[in-house]
Amino acid sequence: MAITEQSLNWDYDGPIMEVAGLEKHFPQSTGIVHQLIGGDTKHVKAVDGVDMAIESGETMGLVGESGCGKSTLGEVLIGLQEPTGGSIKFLGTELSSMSDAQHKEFRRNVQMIFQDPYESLNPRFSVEQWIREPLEVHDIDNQDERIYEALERAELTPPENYIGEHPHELSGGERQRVSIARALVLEPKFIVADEPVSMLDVSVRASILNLLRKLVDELDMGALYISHDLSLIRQMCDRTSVMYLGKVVERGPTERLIKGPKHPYARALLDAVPVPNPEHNISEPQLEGEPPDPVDLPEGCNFRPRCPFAAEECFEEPGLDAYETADGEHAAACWRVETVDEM
Amino acid sequence: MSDQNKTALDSESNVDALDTELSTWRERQADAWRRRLAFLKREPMGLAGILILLAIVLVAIFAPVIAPYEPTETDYGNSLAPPSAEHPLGTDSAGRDIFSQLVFGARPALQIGLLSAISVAFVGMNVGLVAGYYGGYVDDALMRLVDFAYGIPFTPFIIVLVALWEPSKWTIVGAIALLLWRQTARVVRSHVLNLKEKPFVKSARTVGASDRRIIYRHIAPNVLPLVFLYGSFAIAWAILTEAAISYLGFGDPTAVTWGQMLQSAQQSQALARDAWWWFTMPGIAIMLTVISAFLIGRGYEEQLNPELQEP
Amino acid sequence: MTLLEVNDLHVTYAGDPAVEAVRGVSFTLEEGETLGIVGESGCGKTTLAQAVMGALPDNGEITGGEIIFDGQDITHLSNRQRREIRWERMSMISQSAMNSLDPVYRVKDQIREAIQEHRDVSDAEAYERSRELMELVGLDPDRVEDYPHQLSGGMRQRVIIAMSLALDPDLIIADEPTTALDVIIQEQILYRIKELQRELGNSMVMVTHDISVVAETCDSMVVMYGGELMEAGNVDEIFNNAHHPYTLGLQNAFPSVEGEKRDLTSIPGSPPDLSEPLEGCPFASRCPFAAPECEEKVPVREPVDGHRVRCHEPVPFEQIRDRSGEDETWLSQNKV
Repeated sequence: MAITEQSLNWDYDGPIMEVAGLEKHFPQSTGIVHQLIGGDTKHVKAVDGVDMAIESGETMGLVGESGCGKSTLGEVLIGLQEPTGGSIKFLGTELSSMSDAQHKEFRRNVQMIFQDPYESLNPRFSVEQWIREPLEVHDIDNQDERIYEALERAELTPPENYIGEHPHELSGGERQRVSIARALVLEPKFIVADEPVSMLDVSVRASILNLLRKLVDELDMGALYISHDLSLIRQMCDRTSVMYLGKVVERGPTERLIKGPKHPYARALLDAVPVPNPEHNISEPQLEGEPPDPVDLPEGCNFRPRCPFAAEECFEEPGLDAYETADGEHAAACWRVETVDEM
Repeated sequence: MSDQNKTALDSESNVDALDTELSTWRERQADAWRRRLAFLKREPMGLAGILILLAIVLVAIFAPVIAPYEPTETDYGNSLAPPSAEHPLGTDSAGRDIFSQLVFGARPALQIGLLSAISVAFVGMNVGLVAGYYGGYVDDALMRLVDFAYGIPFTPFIIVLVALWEPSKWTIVGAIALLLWRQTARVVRSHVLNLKEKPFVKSARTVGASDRRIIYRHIAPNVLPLVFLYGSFAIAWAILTEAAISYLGFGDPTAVTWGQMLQSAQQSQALARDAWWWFTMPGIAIMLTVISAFLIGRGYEEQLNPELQEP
Repeated sequence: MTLLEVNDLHVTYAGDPAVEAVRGVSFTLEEGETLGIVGESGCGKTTLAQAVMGALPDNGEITGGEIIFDGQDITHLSNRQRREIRWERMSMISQSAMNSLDPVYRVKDQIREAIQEHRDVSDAEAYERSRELMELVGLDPDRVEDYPHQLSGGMRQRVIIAMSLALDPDLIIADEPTTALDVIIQEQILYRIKELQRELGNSMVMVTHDISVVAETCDSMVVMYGGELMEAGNVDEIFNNAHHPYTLGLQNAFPSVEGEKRDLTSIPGSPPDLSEPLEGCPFASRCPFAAPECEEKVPVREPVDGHRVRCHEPVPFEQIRDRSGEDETWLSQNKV
């Protein structure tokens, strides 16, 4: 690719994707009467001030319950949704200030793999048409070769057996591989995978996870892996962020986080994951109820109303720097980590 | 499995490969059609509709061969003759052969029906696609237009329009296209709202596909069956409307249409003169055509929405 | 005492082609016990549950074997007789049930209807019972006044559980009761189901694809593949001493947050076509240990180490166990 004046800065050696104070607030539709009497428009704070940096070759895990904003964050990162605040930098360049050419380059280098293998392929496209489309859109040559290469990368071999197929002729695992081939045919530098295996059979999950991990490694991509299941995150991710009501409440190297979660929400989340070990009987849940809608959030710590360890100091909002290990790798937005650790 | 296209054209020996590829392609197309038409097996009513319509189409195409007389050929010595071997469906007050008029009347009926269906489908689909896909102000504006079109009473509007323009079948097609797209647009829009949230559409946006590409390559093919459905209903409406307009005397008086036949029967007080063959025959022809279009639409609809089949 | 006994059950769906979804499955369920039926999509586990419940789709039919419930053969009861047993003596919680609540009726009316269908009780009594049931499943009794759309998915699933308990059945069949829910809600609901079972003493069949749910909630388990039983026995036994290559493959493919991180294996290939008759082991085509004898009919071996295995044992079980933990073992099969 010819380097033009407007090209993105490919020599940038900072994180491939970096966000700061990222916000995505949706106005909540209120009745017309409410609007007429001049009531405030309330906002659903799906993403509410997230800082995150992802390096090339690294997979960041993002875990939380449905409605915590993790999928919205993923879509904002790849430009499917406009943020309402904060900054997104790709290769050090602010997304909102990119030129058209740069934006096109961004579009080509940032891709996504979706959750539902049955809805994420157009039922009317053959595998070949589906993988060719990104190449047509970006006007890239040697299309046939690239399609073959992408299919081989996604381990759909031999490619001749697959290019003519339509989605209904493929199994769930094969469809997900087609999605991966389509996402990779543009040779992107950053990829978001939103629950890519949660709808697949257990026996094929591992092969898709292993494939994704291998590709992130080989192609030196940055990746965000979104899931509600910490046991899958553990297989896939170098570092993990735990999200609750639009905020990252804990972040650390995945193994350390799983062996020793710090935020009470992360502890509960981990405790709730069932384990394939019959000695481990289901225990009393640490949390009752469900997360509130992210509209009228409580003062102070978001998690305070559900937190079994909440205390006076929790009326003040903790940042991710409220608890930090000495090496700075593991952080939690909780004032009471040490107290709870002792309990 | 199809071969690699890029090598297929290189040498003479690859003509065979190309041949097999073409034949697999043909098989695929044939398969696709078989699947598309498979509903007929399960929907005998739909099959009946198609057969009736097919018969009418054949009659229209071969009208000069089938009709024993020129439809406008008068024979005053033989006016109001009841059905006989000479005039199988009798004659009208000017001695014109009813059967021949019926046969030639199939032509404008089908022309009006098909043209209306196409224009309704075209306008309705595009309005629905654009409104549903873009949402926001575009959607609001287009949907107000739909509401407006819904607010206009159908028959009076067409009469006014026909009165303003000249009475011809084109006017009727135009009038129908101006009004009947509303339903197609509304239904297509609601489907688009649903489709545009599907991951495969998000995927198209992620790879950078333009709006135009997303609308016409990803969304439109998935609403086409619906458009076809409302198009087939439009055929029925158009034929009924033409008949009604002509009957009310706003049609083209020189044209041979089923509606005109009814109108002249009414003018000549065929009922009082016991010339039942004059007004029942065009009535039956209209009914058959309209019913066939409805049957096709209905059968197809049941295929699209399996829930409709549940009691 | 044995509450449920299923012997050599066969279930076929009519159609073109006909699909034999369950192919000779046998198991027993003791009173007060929880049995897990585990397998992947298309293994016949849901069909099996529906057959026991008498809730097969219209084109499904029991084509062989018997179902004995509390000493009574219920295999070929008429619909009306089945209805009497259904809900009153056995009830079902299904995956899609939380979306099956009628949106135009309040929760209390739906529970009342479920009760009055079978019991001759007044509206007031039924109302009292519905509040009781809500409390039992951990919901605020006042929420009986709500419409389904006012409840979250987890709450709706609790309402379904409440309804399934309304008539105090002996057997509850739970078909993927928490699959659509988040882990925290899943834990709350599974915990509640187990607590209720302890209090009320009913038996349960838990149908799921998730072996960790089976490990945490069940006493015994049946592993299914291709409509057939592969391995069955006590949960501790199966998890610590599985013999069948498929069971081992499933266990090694399953991630865990417990213990040290290990590499997962996958099982290449796809399940057999259930519209075709199959002579040998349904898993043979994906099994890295398969030998020629696996094309022949596989008997269920009489209890080996206290559990049943359906495998010819082409190589000694110890070897299967050792080698099934390595990804290469499974991948080598794919290349053949």
